[in-house]
Order: sequence, then structure tokens, then C-alpha cells
Amino acid sequence: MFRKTVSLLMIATLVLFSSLALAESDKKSYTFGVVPQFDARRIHSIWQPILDELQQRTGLKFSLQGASSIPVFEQEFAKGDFDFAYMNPYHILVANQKQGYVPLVRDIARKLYGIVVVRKDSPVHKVEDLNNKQVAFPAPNALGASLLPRSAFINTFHIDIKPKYVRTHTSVYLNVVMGEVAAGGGVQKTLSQQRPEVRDALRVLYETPRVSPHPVSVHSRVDKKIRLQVKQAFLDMGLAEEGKTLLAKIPMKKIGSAEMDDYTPLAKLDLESIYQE
Amino acid sequence: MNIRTKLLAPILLALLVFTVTVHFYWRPILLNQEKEEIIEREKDVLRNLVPGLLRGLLIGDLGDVYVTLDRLIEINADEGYQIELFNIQGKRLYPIVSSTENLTPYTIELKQVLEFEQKPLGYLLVKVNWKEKYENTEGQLLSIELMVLSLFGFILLAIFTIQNLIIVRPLIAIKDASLQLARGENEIDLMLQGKDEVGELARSFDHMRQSLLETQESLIRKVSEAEQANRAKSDFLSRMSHELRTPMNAILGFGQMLKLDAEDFNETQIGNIEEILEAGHHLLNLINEVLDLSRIEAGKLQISMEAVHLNEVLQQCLVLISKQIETHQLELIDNISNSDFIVQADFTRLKQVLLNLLSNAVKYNCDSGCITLDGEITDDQCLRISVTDTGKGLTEKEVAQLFTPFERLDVDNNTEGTGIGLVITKHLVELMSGNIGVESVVGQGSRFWIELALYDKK
Repeated sequence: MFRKTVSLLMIATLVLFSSLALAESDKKSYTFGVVPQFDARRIHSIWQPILDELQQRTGLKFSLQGASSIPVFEQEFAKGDFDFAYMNPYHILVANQKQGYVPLVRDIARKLYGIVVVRKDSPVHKVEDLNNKQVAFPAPNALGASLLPRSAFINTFHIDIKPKYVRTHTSVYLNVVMGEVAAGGGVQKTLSQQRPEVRDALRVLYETPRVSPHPVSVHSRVDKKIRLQVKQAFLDMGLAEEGKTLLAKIPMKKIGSAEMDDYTPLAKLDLESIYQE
Repeated sequence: MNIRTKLLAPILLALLVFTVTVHFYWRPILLNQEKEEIIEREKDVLRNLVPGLLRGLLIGDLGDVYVTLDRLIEINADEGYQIELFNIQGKRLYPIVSSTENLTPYTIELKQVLEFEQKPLGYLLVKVNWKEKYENTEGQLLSIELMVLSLFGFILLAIFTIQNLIIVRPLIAIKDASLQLARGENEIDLMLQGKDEVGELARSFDHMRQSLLETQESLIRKVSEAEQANRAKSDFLSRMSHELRTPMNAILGFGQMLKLDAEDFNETQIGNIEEILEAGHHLLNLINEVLDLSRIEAGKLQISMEAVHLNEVLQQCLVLISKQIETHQLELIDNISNSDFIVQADFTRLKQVLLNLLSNAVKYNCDSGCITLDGEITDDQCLRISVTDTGKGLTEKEVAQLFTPFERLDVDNNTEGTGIGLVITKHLVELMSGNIGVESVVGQGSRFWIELALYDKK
């Protein structure tokens, strides 16, 4: 039953995406990539209404571009496949370097940071105790949960850990709770979404330095007028009650202008050395 | 056990056997089958889970493992489904908090090892509570059992009812009729018209009843005829004895008068007179005996019980019999005359009884024989007086005929008497509430005894 539902959903998603691709034919349509932090269905339900709203506000046409996984997404923006893209802060550094993507808007109400969690009863009380221990992360290049903590381990604490990549934040927390690893990297939001018996069994050992969150960025090939038009449309949406609700789902609490300078502190963290292509 | 029980017993037994078989043989088998099915199904489910779980275990994606297993538990929530995942070191990976639910008799435990390239990575432990399914199945079985049982029971009851109508009730009617018949109620209508064996039995019974009635009637008729004849005989004897006694008294009276005038006759004449008197006395004696018997049989003989000194009676008897003893040259051994026994009896009749026994002992003794008189007190406070002779003795058949009227043992006419002496004796002893008996050995002699109650002086 479960399997059947899943396969049906997959087929439905495929059909949806192919129909979106077909709609592109008559007028110039801008591709809009979204980093696949969630499954395709959820991404579609969040972003399609936003793109529809953008279309209304600008008169331009956008097509939502899915990627099956984060590495695929990374490859795609590295090739410059998207006109517009919602990506993580580290991505914008790479994308800026490789294709000249620049940030347009971002959430200005909050900052992005990673956390390192241990079991409540763990003997580990400071980050240095994790030296030579196994630490779980969702994926090598997850910014908050993996890149920021690992950068801190190396650059700030100068310790060596054995990473274990367990695909999801939930898996990270479970591995810590079940004692499979000494600690795990995550973000505050996903931790608070865990079931109580997981959440309450964990203790936050360390919070990483805060960086600006995910920007919506634009490829350098897109006309400046169009860029401004889209940026303004996003900012206008942030003012309207309805638009606010749509943006909150991304999540962007308060949308504001984003500059490349917002992300330069991140560059100093020397993430390239730990980033896995 | 009556016939209804006998007919009902095999029916009930069959029901019992059926119930026991279904309940204790088929039920466990069916329930076990159900359990096996559940186990097989759960094993299938687990096998299907293996690849997904293996991937999760291999890369440490516990989130995926939890999603899968949470979902499984959610789907099977109604079966009290518990699943636990352990790594190869036996450390629990799922769930976070182990369920503390205790094992019940309805818990099925299954283990599925997770192997990757023949290397075990961990194992799943599943507990399924099949109580509800068990109870469902059991309930279904119970209803089937009850249904079949009631159907079976109904059929058997119908058979029993038919048996009862066809066999038992007629049989009971016949039984009741025979009891009525035994009580002497002759007017019985069985009302059984069936043409089967039971009907035949009823008709045979009726036929038997008819012939019984006929036999009974003819017997009653014959008995009354016999009684009438016996009464006529007794009357006749009684009257005749009276009639005979009157002339006998005349004969004896005039004989004795002649004897008084003895000096007028010569010796031959005196001898003749003696003969007449002796024969007359003998005849009178016989007449008296016959008269006694007829009186006894008519129930007219009067007995007056009193305290009787045995010695006194015995002395009078011995005086009367001594002449005969002398004549036959017999020896008398008297072991009781000097004792002082007092019995309850009629003096005259006791004397008659003892005389009869003594005279028999003389009559049937051998030459130069011996007569012994004994007395002993029995356990029930009676005096047993016995007269033993040394005669020929009696066979069993002869003993059986002894107390029957007019039966004389030896047919030779040398022995005097009518053959009713012992009969009268027996009647007299019984009238005095006593007993009489005989023990005899052929060739050695006989011992006649009577038992009479001792007189209680208090």
C-alpha cells in the first residue's frame, strides 16, 4: 500500500514536471531552480504558488526546475542551468565564482547557523572532547548541519573527527540518541521538529557562527531590468499579507535585499577545503 | 438402569464424543493453523522489509529505518504489534524506548536476521499479539460447534422421542400391566394395536393374562372342591366315630360285666372275654385317634395351657407303656425322669404325645432293643425331649412322609395302628406352640424329639 502510494506520487510528479516543461514553448520562460532540501512534492507545493505570484506581478514566465538531489542541483547551477535559483549560502559562493550568480533577496530576520548535539548523558562537555570521535552529519555539503560545524572543528577547535553521513537530519539525531555516534551536526529548526523522546534526549553542545541564510540568486546572463523587476516583485510580496504567507513557507520570515557582501564572511570559513564536489 | 436411560446413554455418549473431538482435537488444530498463517504472513512482511532496512543500517540512515518501522507499527496497531531492531552487537536501534509490555500467551515472537552479503548486520524482533484474532477464531469455532451440536442434539432427541413412542412407552405399559396383574387386578386393557414386535409382545402378554386367569379360576374351583370334600370327609369321620363309639362303649361295658362274673365261666370263655375286651379297647383307641384328627382338622380341638411337671406326665406314661416294654424285652434308659423340668403344655395332650412317641419306639424297635429318653434345654429356652429307638431307622423319603395322614411306613400288617398317630402328635405339639422333628439313620434307629417352652416361674 505504502509502496503503491509512493510510486503513484512519483508518477504524478513526473507528469507535473513534464507538463511544466511543455508550457515553456510560446513565450520566453525563465528557469527557477530550488535546492532540493525537501522532497519534490513539498518543494512544488511551496514554490509553485510563489512563481505564480511572481508571474502575475512581473508578467514574466517562470518554470520550476527540480533536481533529484543536492549534488545534481550543484552540478546544474555549476553549468548555469538556472536563470534564477534558491540555494544555500555556500552555494552562492560557488555559483558566484563559477557562473556569476548574484544574490537578489534573502531572509533578513534570521541568521543561519549549525548546531552540534550530543546525548544528554554524554560525557562530552566541550567540543574538544570530540577529538577522534565519530560524528554524524546528514550529507557532506549540508551547510548548517555539516559544513559550518566541520569548518569550526578544523579552523576553530583544531580537532579531528570521523564523519558519518546518514542522509537526513532525523538520522543524525537518532544516531546520536541511540549511541551510534558521539555527536551529530544539525540545525535548530530540525532539532525542534524531532519527536519529543529524541529532542529531549539531546543536548546542544555547540552553535556555529551565524551566516546569512539562503538567497534567491540570479544568473549574470539575465537582463538587469528583469533582475530588478523580479527583486522588486519579491520585496512587494514581502509587504503584502498574502505574499508574506507564501514566503514564510520557504522559509523567509522577512524578505529583504541581499548582496554578495552578505556572504563574504562565509568565504573566510574556508569551506572549499571540506566541500565535496 | 431403566430402558430410557439405556436408549439415551449411547445418544449422549455420541454427543459427548463429538463435543470432545471437536473441542479438544479440531479446535487446537484450527487455532494452530490460524497462528501459523499469521506467522507466515508476518515473516513475509519482514522479508520484504529487509532490503530497505539494510540500506538504512549500512549508511546509518536511522531516520529512514524509523519511518519504515513506525509505519509498520501504525498499520498493525490493532494487533498489539511490537518491533525492535538490534544491531549485531545486540544493541537496540529501534525503538528509542523499549516497550515494556509483557508477553502474553497470545504473543507470537519472530526474529528476522538482516544480512548483507552473507554478513549479519542486525536482527528484527517482532511481537504480534494475536489475542483478538485468536478470540475471533475461537468464537467462530464455538458458534460452529454449538450449531452442529444443537443440530446433532436435535436429531438425536428426535430419534430418542421416536424410540420412546415406539418402544419404551408400550414396554412400560406392559410392565405396569404385569405389576397390576401380579396385584391381582385382572381388568387390564393395554390398548396396543401395533403390528410390530412390540404389538406382538402386547398381544402375547394379553394372551398369557387370559390363560393365567383361566388357570387361576380352575385352580380356585378345584381348591374349593377339595376343601369341601375334605370337610365332608372330616364331618363323616367325626360323625362316624361318634356313632362307632356308642356301640363300642356298650360292647366294652358288657364285656367288663361278663368279666366280673368270671366264676360262672370256664377258662376258654374267660379267655374269649379277655380277647373281646382287648380288641374293643384297641378299636376304641383307633376311633378316638380318628376323632381327634377330625377335630384338629376342623379346628375344634381345645388346648388348655398350664405349667406341667414333666416328671409327673412321664411317670404316668411309663406306667402305661411298661407292660409293652416288658413284652418286647426292651431296655429303657431314662435320663430325665428325675429332673424337675416344668413346661408350658396341656397335661393330657402332652401325655398323649409322649405316649405316642414311646409306643412308636416300642412298636418299631428291634427285639431286645433299647429306648432312651433325654432332655436338654435349647438356646431359645425350650426343653427338647427326645425318644431314641434302636429300630430300622428311616430313609429320607420316609421321613418326608412321616407326618402325612394315613401313611403307614411298612405295609406289613403286623404293626398295629391307623397311621395317624404321628400326624395327631405333630398337630398337638404345634397347638402347644412347640416343634417336632426326627433324625434317623437307616439300620441304627430314629430319634424323635419335641420342643416345648419352659415354664417361666416369674
